[in-house]
Amino acid sequence: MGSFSLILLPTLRCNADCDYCFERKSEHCLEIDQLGIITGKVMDHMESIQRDSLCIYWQGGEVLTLPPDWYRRAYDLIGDMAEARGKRVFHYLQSNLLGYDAKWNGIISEMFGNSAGSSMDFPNLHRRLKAGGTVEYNLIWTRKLREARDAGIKVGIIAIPNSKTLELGAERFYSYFADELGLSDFQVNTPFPGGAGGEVKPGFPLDEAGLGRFLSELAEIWTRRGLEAGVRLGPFHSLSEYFLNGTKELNCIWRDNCANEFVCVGPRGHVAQCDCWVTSYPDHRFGNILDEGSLTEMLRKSGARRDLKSRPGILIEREDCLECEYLSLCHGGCPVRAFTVYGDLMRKDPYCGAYRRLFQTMENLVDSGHLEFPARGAGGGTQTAAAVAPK
Amino acid sequence: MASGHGDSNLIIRSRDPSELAECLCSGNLQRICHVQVTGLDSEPDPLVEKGPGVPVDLVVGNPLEELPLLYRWTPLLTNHPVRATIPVAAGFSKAVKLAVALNFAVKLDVLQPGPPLVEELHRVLHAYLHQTAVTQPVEYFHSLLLAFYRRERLTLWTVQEEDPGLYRHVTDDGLVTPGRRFKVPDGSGYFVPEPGFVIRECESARCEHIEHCAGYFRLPAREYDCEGVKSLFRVLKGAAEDLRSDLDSYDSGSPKAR
Ligand code: SF4
Ligand code: SF4
Ligand code: SF4
Repeated sequence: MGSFSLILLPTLRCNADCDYCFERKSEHCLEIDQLGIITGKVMDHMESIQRDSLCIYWQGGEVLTLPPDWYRRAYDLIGDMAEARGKRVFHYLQSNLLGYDAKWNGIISEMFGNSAGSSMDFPNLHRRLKAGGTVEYNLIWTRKLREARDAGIKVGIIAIPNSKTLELGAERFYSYFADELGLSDFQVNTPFPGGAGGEVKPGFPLDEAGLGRFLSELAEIWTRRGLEAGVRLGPFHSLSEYFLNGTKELNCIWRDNCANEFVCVGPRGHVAQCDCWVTSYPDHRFGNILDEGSLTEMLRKSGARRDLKSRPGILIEREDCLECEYLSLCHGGCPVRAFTVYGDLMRKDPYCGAYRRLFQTMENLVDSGHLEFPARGAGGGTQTAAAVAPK
Repeated sequence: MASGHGDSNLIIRSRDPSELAECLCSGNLQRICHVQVTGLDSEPDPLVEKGPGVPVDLVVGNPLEELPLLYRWTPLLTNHPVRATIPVAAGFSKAVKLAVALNFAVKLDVLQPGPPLVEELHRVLHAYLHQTAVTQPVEYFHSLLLAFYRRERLTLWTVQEEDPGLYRHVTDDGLVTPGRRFKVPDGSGYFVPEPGFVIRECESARCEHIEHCAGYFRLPAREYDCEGVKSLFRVLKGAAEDLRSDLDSYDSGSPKAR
């Protein structure tokens, strides 16, 4: 019996004001009794599809805008319900860390296994405080990161490149995260122009060729410098595992169909594929878990989910994915990236060219013996929400 | 239908996954070798959770037309080993590529391929032998490669689940037959289900592959020209020899051997 994954957004409130955020913010927060209803229906669904463990990826908004006590009650409630139904639950935290201080240590240790995921870009052009700019954001975030790590919390970082990143190059990017911040666990995700139109979004998607070059160079730098030093850098680490031994522990964008893997629930009970769909595209929601009797039925009947499920089969007829030498790794890429760029779900991922270049580089690194099995010192990374749905 | 076959082990086929799911809930579970879904346009949901561990064979009818449908069956992998049985018909290599990309094992359903299909089989064999992306077994290549490598006796009749001594095919009308390979070409009935009679022809032709083919490609059309399929045997045998010599040289170079 396998596991079921849920991306849970307990609030869309946020203490930052990043230019490229795709979420429509609101002050609304999930009530604990609503959490009980959601958990019950999720567990009913797990029973109907015979899953015995549940992975909950807590995301926002900003999750730490709810108090630690809220999470204590949530943890106890979910734990009690799981125990009564013979299920196991694993919790993962994704936070901007701005609200982090020592009062969080207890619950982060107990509920989240002393791990957390956070995000930062290099250079930071878009992440900013509500009352302040990008410089202030960097100062506070770096301090909070240090404090969390000093408290023994293992923090995995997601970095999103922007046009300036591509100009500065992979070496500077790698040095910032690995040398300046001293991180041994981070991953690169690609940006997309989701949500309502804003000033920055016209800068996305990034130039496909430039992104491909950047990712390719970064893969080489990681192989040269990171592997030996035990740095786990996604997605290069999982791609190296694939080319070395055929295992596919890939991000959602490269799975055969993300719609088979998990769902996302927002603070008002809206259910959709992942956070961007829940928060910004009401027409693509599957339904509302608080209103409907059964999650299983909702998922079965949802037209929006049916569209997502049919996408890879349609792509191999419409696009060139069937001819692609990396079909077993990608299957047309991410639906939300395609939708936000082309307004059409049934197109392949706009970063296709960049992915292919990266895959080719990784394959060459393995074939030329630069990457060897097993990837040294690169095990046991921090699992964050980004492992399933990049934000 | 399952109840009418004594103690025999069963391969149960149906277009309808819910029918198969019912069989997996019945007392027959111990006797079921695997189940075959013959209609890929249905929904897999009823089968996903039933009979965990029982292998599911997805029988592709038309490889080019049904190709996109393979995607809907990946949820089965959570609870079942899954194989796609793909007929060797024009364009089948595309379906093979997608099936292995989806982590399905593959069985090539091959009758007596002509030159264009032999060429396509060579492309698939090359991908199976050399491409990193192909991590799943592609039968019959896989079992024969191992048999050549281990110098084992194994025939295509067994690999392809068509040995009339082990398998019977029950038609939709309930007729017990030795399988379509034994169907006489004019459709008027079946050959005696005894491969020996074709083997004698292969022996007199002094075929070097008789140990592994055993006349498999001599049926149903006795006059079939085997040169194309023999070239596939040769590639497999060569690959097994290369593998053995690679491993021998690796062993002799290892600290233990020195
Ligand atoms: S980010 Fe893309 S691939 Fe991942 S869950 Fe969302 S739509 Fe699917
Ligand atoms: S890399 Fe491009 S062509 Fe290949 S499967 Fe992905 S989207 Fe399709
Ligand atoms: S390859 Fe042809 S001649 Fe050789 S054993 Fe097979 S059927 Fe007989």
